[in-house]
Amino acid sequence: MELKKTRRHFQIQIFKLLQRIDLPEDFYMLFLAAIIGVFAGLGAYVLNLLVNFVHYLLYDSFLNITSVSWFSYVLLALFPAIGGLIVGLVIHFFASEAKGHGVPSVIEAIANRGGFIRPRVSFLTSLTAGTTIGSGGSAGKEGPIVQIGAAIGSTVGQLFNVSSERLKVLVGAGAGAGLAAVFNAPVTGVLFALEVILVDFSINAFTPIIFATVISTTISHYLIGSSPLLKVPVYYLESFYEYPLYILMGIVGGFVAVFFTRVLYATEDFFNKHRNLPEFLKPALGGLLMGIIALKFPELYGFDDHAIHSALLARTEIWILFLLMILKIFATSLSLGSGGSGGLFTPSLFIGATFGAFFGGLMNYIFPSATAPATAYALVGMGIMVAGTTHATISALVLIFEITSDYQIILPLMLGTIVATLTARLIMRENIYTMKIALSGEYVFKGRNMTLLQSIPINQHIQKKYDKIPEHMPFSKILKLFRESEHSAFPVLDKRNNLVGVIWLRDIRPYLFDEHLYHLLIAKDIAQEEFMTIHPDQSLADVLRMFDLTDAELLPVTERRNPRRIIGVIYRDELMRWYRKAPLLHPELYSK
Amino acid sequence: MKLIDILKQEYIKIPLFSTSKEEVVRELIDILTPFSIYENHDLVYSAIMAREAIMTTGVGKGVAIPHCKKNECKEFAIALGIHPQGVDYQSIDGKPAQIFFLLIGPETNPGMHIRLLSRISRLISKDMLREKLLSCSSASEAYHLIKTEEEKYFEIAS
Repeated sequence: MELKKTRRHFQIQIFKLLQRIDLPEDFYMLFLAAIIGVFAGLGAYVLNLLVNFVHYLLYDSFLNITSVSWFSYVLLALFPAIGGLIVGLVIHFFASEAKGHGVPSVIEAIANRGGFIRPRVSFLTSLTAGTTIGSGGSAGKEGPIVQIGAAIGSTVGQLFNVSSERLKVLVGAGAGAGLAAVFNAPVTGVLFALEVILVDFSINAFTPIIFATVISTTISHYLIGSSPLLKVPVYYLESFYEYPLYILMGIVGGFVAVFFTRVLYATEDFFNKHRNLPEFLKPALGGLLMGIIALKFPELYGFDDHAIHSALLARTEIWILFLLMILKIFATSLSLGSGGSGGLFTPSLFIGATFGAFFGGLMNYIFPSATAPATAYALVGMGIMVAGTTHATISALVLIFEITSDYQIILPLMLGTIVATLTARLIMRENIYTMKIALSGEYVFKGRNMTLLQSIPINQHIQKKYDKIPEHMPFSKILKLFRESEHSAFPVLDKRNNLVGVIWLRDIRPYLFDEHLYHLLIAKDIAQEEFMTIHPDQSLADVLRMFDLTDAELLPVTERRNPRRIIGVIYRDELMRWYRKAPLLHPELYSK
Repeated sequence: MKLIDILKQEYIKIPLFSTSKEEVVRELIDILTPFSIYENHDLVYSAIMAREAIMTTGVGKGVAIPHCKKNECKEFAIALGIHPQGVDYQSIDGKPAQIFFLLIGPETNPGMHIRLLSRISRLISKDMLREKLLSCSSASEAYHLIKTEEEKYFEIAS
């Protein structure tokens, strides 16, 4: 209690200071973002340490105990299973959120819980992900670090008692800062937070996320190093004839991405269905199966990025590349689908690099003189696979720049990622993150839980008492109404109270001070007679979608059988105010 | 776009002969009838009169700007008529109207409708222009007068 009081006192003192020195309100968020950036940077470092520690313990120390070759062979297959067992126990007893690939639970926290994440998640996810990846599981560090960073952001926001809107931005800042630190890719971190986590590109969100990202990346530069993740030779476009090939590659890549997503969730479904197997044993079983596959192909281990390098340097045979691509899809699905903890970016990069090198190899064979080396295709393939799985086109293409420092291949990369995203979206609405939420029966779009919103009727939001304008009202009186009312749009009704149009402030703004029109115009002259309406049997999801679509301030609600018969109106501002408070005031709607 | 793009010389009639509000409106619509802007003359007439019944467009100082939005009209068009003797148009200042701008256009673009009305009323609010218009004896004279005056204004956003 005392601690809470001190914290509140500290918070008020900061506000007073900011007000006294007349700094923009952004500075308070920047202050919080700085704290988050520091912890996210340290979190990335700790995660790295944990992965390396577990890896050293198992593969360097433990493996050297025995010199009997068959025994070490058995051990190799068992390591991912041992990791899985530890992860299973931690998840079972301490936090179910630390299971799986991290990002969906952050998206879900934004959509359903106003950005609230339990503080313990950051610590436990480090532990489970460090164990999964260090023990050889086929997964990356980025998913967990996004979750760790998001949990740090949420914890800082909760400590400083910020509003739900600001809490979401801080969660995004933590997620972006974490991703940036682990990949040494600051711009990708920022864009990923905006494009995937928050689905919000407003300036309010940008500044804290960028600031947290700068700090976390600086810390990771200092503690981990600043070289690009992958060092590749310079690639180029051999001829303009290659563009159609990159389009084709984007289409095929979109299919492969959807295949990966489907296999991942089918595997998860398989493990979920076998209820007689104890929950904590499932990651161990997944780990064991993955370990057996990796005996023959050690490139599949999560901590090993040799295969990506080989694909980028064209050191592997074409049929092996194809095999590695397929096996990585299954290995990752086994590691994560069984409940292990880890990210999907690195596996996507692996699958993309092998897919690209395979595709490029084939094209070299068919069009030997018109195509660049297969390795250029491997580079673009990575972007294609990340875009195809996450549907985050901008993050995907910026990521490839940042981890390779190669700008030459930009045009094919842009083309490929866009085509892959479109293709994957055409086949399947959900991306690899939102699919998880969709499978639990919920559809999340633009950070909103659409399934929940679809189930809420609009009745309680229809304003039956509202300002209206009779169609004969002269312009001078209309202006008076606009000046006195808090609203900026009004329905126009005829003598029989039928809806004939809507007047928007934006339509009449240029004429507000045009006195010549005061006696010339009436409401009917300036009303928009073509407008969208909503019916009382529609849901909140429909209303929000229509507000997004039309950018309108108001929607008239009319009878379905008689679209001129007005029942009331819905104001966007009031609805959004309710929506922001809903998780707090109506928790029953959000509990499953 | 400018007013003179839709107020063509052929759409100007000097002088008008009618003696009542209803007749003036018909006479103004008749100016546009040969130019295939609408098909049904009566529909446009009743829309204009319905609008006049709600509130007069006789804005005073001898000016009236009858107007309507009707999808019957394929495009925006303005007719100008001058009635040197003046007609009782139930104007807000009670004086007879002598200068008539008739604006018709489709319902689908209320923004343009307002912009055109704003430009007409702004131009005609100038005493000098009204006096010069009243002294015009031909459509060509009136057309060039408005064209010259409108050169001081920006294009109307379409």
